[in-house]
Formats: sequence, structure tokens, C-alpha cells
Amino acid sequence: MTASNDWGGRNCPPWNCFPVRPPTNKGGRSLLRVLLVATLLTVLVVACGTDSPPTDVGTNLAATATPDVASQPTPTLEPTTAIGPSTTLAPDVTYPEGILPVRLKIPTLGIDTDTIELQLSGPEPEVPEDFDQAGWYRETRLPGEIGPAVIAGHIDSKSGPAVFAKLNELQPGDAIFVAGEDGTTVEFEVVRSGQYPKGDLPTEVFGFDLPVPELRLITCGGTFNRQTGHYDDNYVVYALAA
Amino acid sequence: MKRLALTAAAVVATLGIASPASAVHEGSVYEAQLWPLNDSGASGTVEITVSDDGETMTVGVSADGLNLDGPHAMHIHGIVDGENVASSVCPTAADDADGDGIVDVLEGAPRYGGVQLSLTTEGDTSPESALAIERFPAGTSIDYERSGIPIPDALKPNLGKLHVVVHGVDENGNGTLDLDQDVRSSLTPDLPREGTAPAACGTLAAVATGPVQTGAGGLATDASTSNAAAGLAAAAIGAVALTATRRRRPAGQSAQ
Repeated sequence: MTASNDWGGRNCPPWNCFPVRPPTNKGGRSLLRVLLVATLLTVLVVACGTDSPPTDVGTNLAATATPDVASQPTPTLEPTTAIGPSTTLAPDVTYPEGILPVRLKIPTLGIDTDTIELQLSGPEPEVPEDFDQAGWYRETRLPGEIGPAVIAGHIDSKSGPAVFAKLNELQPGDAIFVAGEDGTTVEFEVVRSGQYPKGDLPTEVFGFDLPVPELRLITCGGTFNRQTGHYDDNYVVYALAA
Repeated sequence: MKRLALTAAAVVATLGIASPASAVHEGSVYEAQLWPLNDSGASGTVEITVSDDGETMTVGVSADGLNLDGPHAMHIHGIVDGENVASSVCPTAADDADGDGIVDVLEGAPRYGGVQLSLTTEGDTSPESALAIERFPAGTSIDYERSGIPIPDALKPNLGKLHVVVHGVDENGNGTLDLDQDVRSSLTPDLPREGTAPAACGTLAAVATGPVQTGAGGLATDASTSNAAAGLAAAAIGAVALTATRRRRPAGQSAQ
């Protein structure tokens, strides 16, 4: 019954090994998609080998330039201070800043809702009180930063559908927009989904797939257990910066 | 009733906290998966648990497959500028700037940043101990756990943007640290390049330590019916579920 890990296990670094995505007739050939395909081909050719050619995804999307370390003067620093916490190591490498999310839009599902801040840490992660709202976990990355921002929303209330009732209808290629308090919007593109038993969310849900801005949407799935008053599973949609 | 109370408490907590900078990090748990660099063969996992007072943390590093049966300096790295920590990534072979086949410790730095903490086995854990080779784990596998490691203030809300880096790579196939290697570490002439080149890197991420309770059952047709994720036409499911819910509401209330 589980739909987790649609593309099977992964045994190489996420930035060298991206899971195969099913063909989709949506969307165009974005730069990201081309890069993903290139990465995939690389992976297939070298079978995730230890001496696989480096992927350029990170360099192209995450940073403006690779510093020419070779041309820098040979460090002659004292061993104990050579690479201290405030050392300016790479002035010409920049990473994108994220946005504090205030609104989530998923046109294909007709979702256009406020997002609040939630706390992930603790015995039980916070969830929105309002069944029509979504919430961003503040311990995860800001949308637009490298790595996954995680947003949760209810699948239903006691009486009917809630904001993420149709999350499982999302297909690879579908667009998700997150708007920040500064008015800027980050666009993501759905790539896959997964379903996991409650309380056993793997690191995969919160960790990197690729060194690009990522988004994860969490709601409930599986069987509703009337004894506990909860669904047995969590359903997760994985999206990457479009 | 109990669940309602919990929800209310959660909402109060949410309203009281305005920005990511004030994120409560006491008791938070972070995990990372370690991936190999420089053909080290290493893999592993990292788990960090922040203490209840938020001042210290327990760090566990479990790794094996390392090709250097020698000392492995381990650090928490990050690109930190004052209170800001950049969300960066671990290096790849692409970061071998001089093209000599090895991403040395400084070539990786534009990705993982500077040393923020030294994961020593005893004594000081500050960046001052970054190269205290005698106080790091050694061997081809690592089973490290240390509690009470002080967390610098700048890192407290940002542990989820940092990296754990295990250094120490065998380059010539003899499996040991060649102290007389011609190529020296880019950090210090006192060590061979093998001693400080990164062998594995993992990016930390905050993880949930409990279930994300995002459903109240209004769409569930009955206790034996799986929802949604079964891949069925959800529109149809929704229609059925709504109908069922409407019919059942009085009974459902008494059942709860």
C-alpha cells in the first residue's frame, strides 16, 4: 500500500544520484530539468561510482563561481588558527537567501492559503490550528535557500477536507509557489512523493535531495485509526526549485 | 479533549514566536547522512541532540568503510557571518580547483565553510582544536559519541545549516597516514595532505521526533479504508468520504 520511495533505494550521494522520475507531459525543458537529466545520465554511466565525474548542478545553481583556490597564496597560517570559524574562505561563492514564507499557492489544486510558523522540535511537531492554513517549520530551511523547506498542513478536519486534502493528486511537474513577507515568490516543481508510518519519518524527509532550493509538503495518509484519532501515516510531496 | 488542549498550547507557542531567529532549539534533534569524498569509501550517519537547556549537545558519529586506518579529525563546519549562517552544501569532486584529483581541505571550504567546532574525544571542542590529531577518533570505522559539547551562540538557531566533515584519506593505497607524503596539507606543513583531506561530509537537518498529526478523520470512510496515497482517483474518494462523513457525523461524535 505504501507509495514511499517511488524510485527505489539510493546508494550514492544525493548530489550525484538523483532518482529517476517518471515521464511527465507537463512543463518545459527548464534549465534545472536539463541539469537533472545530465546528472542522471552521469549516474547511470558510472553507476554512482567513486570516481564519478562531478555534477555541475551545485556550481551552476547554487553558486556564482568556483573560487580559484589554486591561485591563492599558499596558506602559511598557524595550524590551530588556519581555518577558524570566521575565516573568510570564499568571498566569491554566494548562496541564495530564502524568504520568510507567508503564503502558499498550488494552482492545480486550487490552494491559496496563508502560512504560519510552526515548531518541529519537541515530542510532537506543531501543526496549524486552522485546518485551512499551512505551516512552515522554522527549524527547516527558508524557502529559496539551498536545501529543503518543510511545510505541513491538514488533510482533513473532523468534518471534512482541509487544506492538503488533495495533496496526493499532485503530479511530477506541477508547480508550487511560496510567497515571502517581502513580496517575492519562489517557484517549486513537484518531483515525487512518499508515504511513511507516523513517528518514523526518515531523515530523507528533511535532508537534501540536490544542492538546490527544495520544498517538502507534509500531510496525513494511510488508514485513519479511530482509537488514536489519527491517521497511521504521513504523506510527503517532494519538490525542487523550478 | 487532551488533543485539543495540546493543539491550543501549540498555537500559543506559535503566536509567541515571531521570527526564525528566535526558534526554540532546546531538545532539537538533527541528523545527517555522511557521503564519501576523495574516494574514501566512507559512509555513515550523524545524530545531534540539543540539551534541554539548549546550551550543549550530544553528538554521535557512526561511520565505516574509511580507507585510512589512521586519525580522523572531525569538525562541524559552516559558513557563518555574525548571526547569519549560509545554507550551503557539501563539496563534490567538482571542487578540486587545482585539478590534482584530490579535494583538499581548503578546496572544500567554499562549500562547507570554516571549522565551527572540533569533535574531539576529550578536552576542548573549539576550533582551536581543529588539528589536535591525537584527540580525534582513529581507524577505518568510527563510533563516536560525546555529550556536553558547548554550542556557540551563533550556531544555536542554525545547527540545521551546518556540516559534519570527517577528514583523513588514504591516497596511495597503503591504508595508513604517510607522514612523509610530499604533498602537505593546505592547512599546515606539519601534516601530509592525507591527514586533512575530507573523507566524508554530511549536511545536518532538523528532524521530527514525533508524528506530524495533520488529520482529524473527516475524510476517512472507515477504519479499514486507506486514503489517498493508494493512488486512486482522489476526487472520487473525496466525494465518497464527504458523503460518508455527513451520514456518520452523529455516530462519529459518540464514537470519539
